[in-house]
Amino acid sequence: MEEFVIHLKNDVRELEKLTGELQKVAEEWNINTGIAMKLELILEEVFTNIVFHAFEDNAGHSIDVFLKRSGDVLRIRIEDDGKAFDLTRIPPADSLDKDIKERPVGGLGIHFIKEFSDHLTYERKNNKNILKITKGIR
Amino acid sequence: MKITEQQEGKTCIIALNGRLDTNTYTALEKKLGEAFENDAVHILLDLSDLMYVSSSGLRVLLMYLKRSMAEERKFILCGLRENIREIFDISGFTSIFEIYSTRGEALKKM
Repeated sequence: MEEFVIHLKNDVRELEKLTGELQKVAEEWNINTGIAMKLELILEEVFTNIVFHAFEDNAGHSIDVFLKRSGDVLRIRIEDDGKAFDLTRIPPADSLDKDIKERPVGGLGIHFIKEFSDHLTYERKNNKNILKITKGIR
Repeated sequence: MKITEQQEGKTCIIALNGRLDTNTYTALEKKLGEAFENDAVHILLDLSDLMYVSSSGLRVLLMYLKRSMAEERKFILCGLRENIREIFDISGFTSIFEIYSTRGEALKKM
């Protein structure tokens, strides 16, 4: 199969489903453990960021992850109908080399997404956030 | 994630096995909280069997590193696998934590 779709609810417990599905993808496409782990990390950070920050109501929402392989490149698209948020415009973390006392305890998630993705684009379309990520898998 | 604990002199050794992520970090937070309540001990976190860590897990480690410094206690890590070390490097954690390859080496520094 050259395409996988993972449908998730805006519930942090769905992380287990996301991880399980990504492990299947890695097995199916023969992705090595190191890259598979980074893929899981990118998607955990994107997913939890959406779950914790995108929705201002208490309703159920869908978060959809589409993964497509073209040769040795993985194209990932994540869609949610939460409030507009373009993480590509968040400035790079500047606290990473700070002294421990001044260093804030949060803010690493978006840094990981940017650091481990090869390319990131964002668009807002039909009231949805669409984040596209490419990552080499060899 | 499985957490095991063992006492070695004044050091409490906590070993993690599995995944430290958004669904499991609270278990570590609780365990470290308990260990820090015992004011006689230093903490050694053995990560030899840790296969995965995300920002939620790293947040807990940083929180307790700060606490250990404030309380003048040691909070040392050992046994990071290559993939885990890479995440530590990218986070800038390699330079703020005291990290040793093996448990034996780390215990000598306590």
